[in-house]
Amino acid sequence: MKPAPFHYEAPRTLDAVLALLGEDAKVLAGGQSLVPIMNFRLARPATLVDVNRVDELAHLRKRDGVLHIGALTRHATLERSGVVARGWPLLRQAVRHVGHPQIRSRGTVGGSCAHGDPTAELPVALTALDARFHLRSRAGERVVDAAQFFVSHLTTALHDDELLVEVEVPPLPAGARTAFVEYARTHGDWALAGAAVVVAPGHAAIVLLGAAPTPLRAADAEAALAAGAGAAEAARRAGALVEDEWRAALTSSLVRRALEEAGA
Amino acid sequence: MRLRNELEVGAPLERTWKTLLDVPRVARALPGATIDPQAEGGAWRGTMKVKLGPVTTEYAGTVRIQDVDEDDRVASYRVEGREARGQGSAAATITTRLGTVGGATRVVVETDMQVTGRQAQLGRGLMEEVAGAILGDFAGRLERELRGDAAPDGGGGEALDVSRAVRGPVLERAGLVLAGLIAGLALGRWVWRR
Amino acid sequence: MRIGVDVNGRRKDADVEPRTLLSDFLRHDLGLTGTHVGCEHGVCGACTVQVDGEPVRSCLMFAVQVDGRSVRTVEALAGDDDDLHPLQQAFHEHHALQCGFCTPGFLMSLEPFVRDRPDASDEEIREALAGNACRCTGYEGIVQAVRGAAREGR
Repeated sequence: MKPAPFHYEAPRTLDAVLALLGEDAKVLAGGQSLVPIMNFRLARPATLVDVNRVDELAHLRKRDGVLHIGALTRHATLERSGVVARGWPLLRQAVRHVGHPQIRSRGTVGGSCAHGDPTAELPVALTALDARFHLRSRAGERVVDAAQFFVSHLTTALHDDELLVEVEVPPLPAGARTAFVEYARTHGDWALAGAAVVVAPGHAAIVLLGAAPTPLRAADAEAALAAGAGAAEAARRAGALVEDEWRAALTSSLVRRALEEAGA
Repeated sequence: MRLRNELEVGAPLERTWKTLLDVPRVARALPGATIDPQAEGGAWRGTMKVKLGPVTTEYAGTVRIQDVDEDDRVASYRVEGREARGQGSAAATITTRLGTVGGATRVVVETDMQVTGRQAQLGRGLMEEVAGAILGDFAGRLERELRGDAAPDGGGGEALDVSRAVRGPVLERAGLVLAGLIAGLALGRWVWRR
Repeated sequence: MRIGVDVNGRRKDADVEPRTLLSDFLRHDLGLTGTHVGCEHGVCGACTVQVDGEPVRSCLMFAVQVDGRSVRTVEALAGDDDDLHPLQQAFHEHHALQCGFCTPGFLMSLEPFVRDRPDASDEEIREALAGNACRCTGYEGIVQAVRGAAREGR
């Protein structure tokens, strides 16, 4: 099928974008999630606001130890970046699992987060890194954390007139090791389960992919790990959060693998 | 192919750093390069002309800043281009790392480059010479740009004549390789047409 | 909407609806039918072309998005005298195609890969192929063609 007709705008500044956002306007960034949905006519936005020409969204920089990822940063750029590889290896580990090379050429960090698919890799990794999300509208800017940003299946805290402009990621704790694992039936297919983990002295983050309508922090498992439990016990507790028996077993197994990879 | 070059720019670090993040200004200091000063989504379109002996190759493509480490003064660029006339392409990730040396700035340039097409046949040794020549010229022009001197017209479409900077046996070797390439191409076409 | 696009080194001007997919623009408006349409939702890779040097799914882009940009399709690979591109030659020699429907997508995806990763292992080659589906060959010939083309390039 082909998409239903729509009005198209390609503004070049952030202000111009914000002026266009509203009830029946959809933001087009990488298009790797939105356009298939439009091709199937499951979504028929009246206006498409193409943000690909906006410079203010295209940065990737480290300042005072904090990583600032502009919403338009392509997955491929995240994958290639030396700054990311050195300071936030979890992002590199996660983004390599996103779709295929062609998808990573166009897909964006902002788009992946704003789409809010609980089986997407970056939202899970960013949650494990305690990322903060900068939302801008004509009225101003607000910053929310991952738990507030990811609300439900394909639903985020973004209002109709708001744009995700940047994801801010604090530095990893000293001595941190990270791992990202997932299971999909075929390579590049939507993952059935997965986990992002950060293990450091006195700090543990275990976030589950596909276990809930949003990335799910396995707080109980994290506490166990911090209290000295081993990977197996933490993995068991993480799996206990998942309803389906087979998915719980799969999740446990993946969490265990991730924790062992990260040296827990 | 990985190349490493060190330049010394006679200007303080902060100003050099700011200028290196201003892509159109950097392009002005790069002989043979033209750039559309209006970026879109963080990407600039541009061209680069390199002349080696009788052969001028023009590439057209895009350049973007890949990532910036403001704390350690490291910036990476991603450049991709295709030959305007021909089948070759080039892609490079260029990482610049700044440090102070006296009142000047030392810039370490690490280039990870892949080239296809006839340029690639010139071999690594010659490519290194070409890169060295370009960057040597660039350092001087960047200094002048930073000092506010009007640089002699290096951008604006005039090709960078590498043979000027690449001397002696290397140039001879390049000439021989090129002659061989041209002869081979001519012979190939003649044989094919029969 | 009026757009101006560099397609395979030549400027093309056209008038398109915003909803016209890049794949359909290339095939119907420009007559470049080498780019094929398989699934129209970004999973099969048959529609892969290069936009500003990067391999992308043309079924997931609108023609209006490439205004002012450069697009390269499979038709650009062979030289002016119809010499096969080294990668096409390798596909030919290693039986990397049968019906040929997926082939343009593979070529456009692999051309930058062969250039950037000439020393890639088989595993890395297979990862790079993951975005293109082939129903005929079983992929082994394609992997061999990539290895062969990488060797030739050196």
